[in-house]
Amino acid sequence: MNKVNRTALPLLWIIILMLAAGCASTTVPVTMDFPEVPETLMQEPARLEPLPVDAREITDLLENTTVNYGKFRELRMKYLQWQRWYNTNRRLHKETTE
Amino acid sequence: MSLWLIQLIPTSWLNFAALMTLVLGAVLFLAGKLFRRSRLLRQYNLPMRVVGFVMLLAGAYFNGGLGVEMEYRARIAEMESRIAVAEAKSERENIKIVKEIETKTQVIQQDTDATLAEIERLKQKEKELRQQNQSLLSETCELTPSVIELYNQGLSGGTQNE
Repeated sequence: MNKVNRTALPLLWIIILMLAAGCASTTVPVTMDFPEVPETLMQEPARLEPLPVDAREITDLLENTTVNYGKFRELRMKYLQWQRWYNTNRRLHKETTE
Repeated sequence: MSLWLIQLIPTSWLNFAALMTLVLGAVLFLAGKLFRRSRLLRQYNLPMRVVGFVMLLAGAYFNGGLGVEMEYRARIAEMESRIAVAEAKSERENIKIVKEIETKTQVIQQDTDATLAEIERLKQKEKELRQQNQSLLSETCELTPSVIELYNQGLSGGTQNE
């Protein structure tokens, strides 16, 4: 009887281990990579131009303002494109993972 | 016990292994029962029955688990294809974004250049008028309509289509 127990006990452990393996997690090991951002959106934003110290005329101020407004409009446009990129990729991520 | 190694084995091999474990287990178990009646082979009957029983259990477990594994693989394949579609869509959107940025940057640059050219024309006109002791701009530094117009043109770029 002891001989049988010595054989049966390790086998019982093997069986328990094998059955326990059935409880292993079945989470799908596939993850979505973080989406690539267009390089244009990663460029450092332009700084605004200061008014030159030798500026005397009101037209100098107008020129400076015009250049700076142009830079602002470019930044605004890129900001809107960032939002567009984020919203699109967020939607795609949601559609894929849900 | 990690199951990820199983994913590396082809499906047909797994099916074959599970079936063979079950069949071999049954054969060993039944052979052990038969050997009990034979005087010559009686000594092998217990180990054969024990091994056969364990193999039967393992075979049953693997056959059951194989269904789960197959479903798991199908889910992985589905997820991979969905990710590929999403990545392609994201890539296409990036191309559209880059094109739109290029186009709009050009438009903004053109608007800025046009306004700067108008300011330059205003400067020239002002220079000519000053030679005749006249001025387009206010002498008391008040903002004149032409200055306000140019200022606002710099702000909007002359277009409001952004």
